[in-house]
Amino acid sequence: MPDQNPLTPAQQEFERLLRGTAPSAGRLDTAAAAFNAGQRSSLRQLRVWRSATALLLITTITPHLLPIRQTTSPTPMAPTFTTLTAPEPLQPQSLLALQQSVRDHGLDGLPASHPPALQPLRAKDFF
Amino acid sequence: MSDVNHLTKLVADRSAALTLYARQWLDASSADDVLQEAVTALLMQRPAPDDPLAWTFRVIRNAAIDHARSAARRRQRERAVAATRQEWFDAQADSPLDAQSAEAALRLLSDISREIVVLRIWGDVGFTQIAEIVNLSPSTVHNRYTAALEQMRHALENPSCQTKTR
Repeated sequence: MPDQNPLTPAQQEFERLLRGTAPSAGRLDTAAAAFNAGQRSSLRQLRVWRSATALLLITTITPHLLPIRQTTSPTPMAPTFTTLTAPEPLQPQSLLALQQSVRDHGLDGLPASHPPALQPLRAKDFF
Repeated sequence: MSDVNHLTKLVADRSAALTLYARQWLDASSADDVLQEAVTALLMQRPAPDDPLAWTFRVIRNAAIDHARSAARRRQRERAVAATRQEWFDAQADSPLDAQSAEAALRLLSDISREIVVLRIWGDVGFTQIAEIVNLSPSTVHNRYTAALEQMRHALENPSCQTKTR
């Protein structure tokens, strides 16, 4: 890009004079710089691959190690109401009914038993 | 020619100017270290910077200023400077200007003016690029440059009256 403000001839001449003075050379080793650059670049690539592998491993394994979390928002549970109904009347022959009857009325409160009718035994039943 | 070869040749051709630029803030040893790191960083760039030379000068500038700011490094630098004093320019028999006089005249300038002169004269960097490197406007850079040239010329013509500008 050309410079917009040209220098005067005297200034240009002085520039040439200064350019004739050579700066001392340093100890720049371009081969070593290129080698180090290559080494660091390969290390950087290696780190990228290691990070990618680790990330992949984590994303693959984590779902198996952690308990499944509910992702949807929990819906409020509707309250359940239990209707209390009157207890069924006790059967007259049940144990509870008999116990209650004895407590209330004594042995007289027990209902009359109805033993099955006995059939007369006959000799031919045994042979 | 590959990018790396091209960049390597570019910095090798300008290594003296890059070294001189780094020495504006650092001793010879630290300047060499900073330059080596800057070139390594340049060769690692993918893709390469649009203006690799300006990019390298800027990296050297930032690294050298950071390096120079460290108190511990400053003490180390002072010891190194005391141990090994190295001139900025090579003494050449056929040079129209004496190396020591050129360095003395350059040292008279303010830091920013000296930086601009080094970039322009030995780095062969344009004013627009210099402006980007030193974070000034191109016109300011140009004005400082012409003033610095006048100051140096005056100092070289009158060696007895050399006073550093701040």
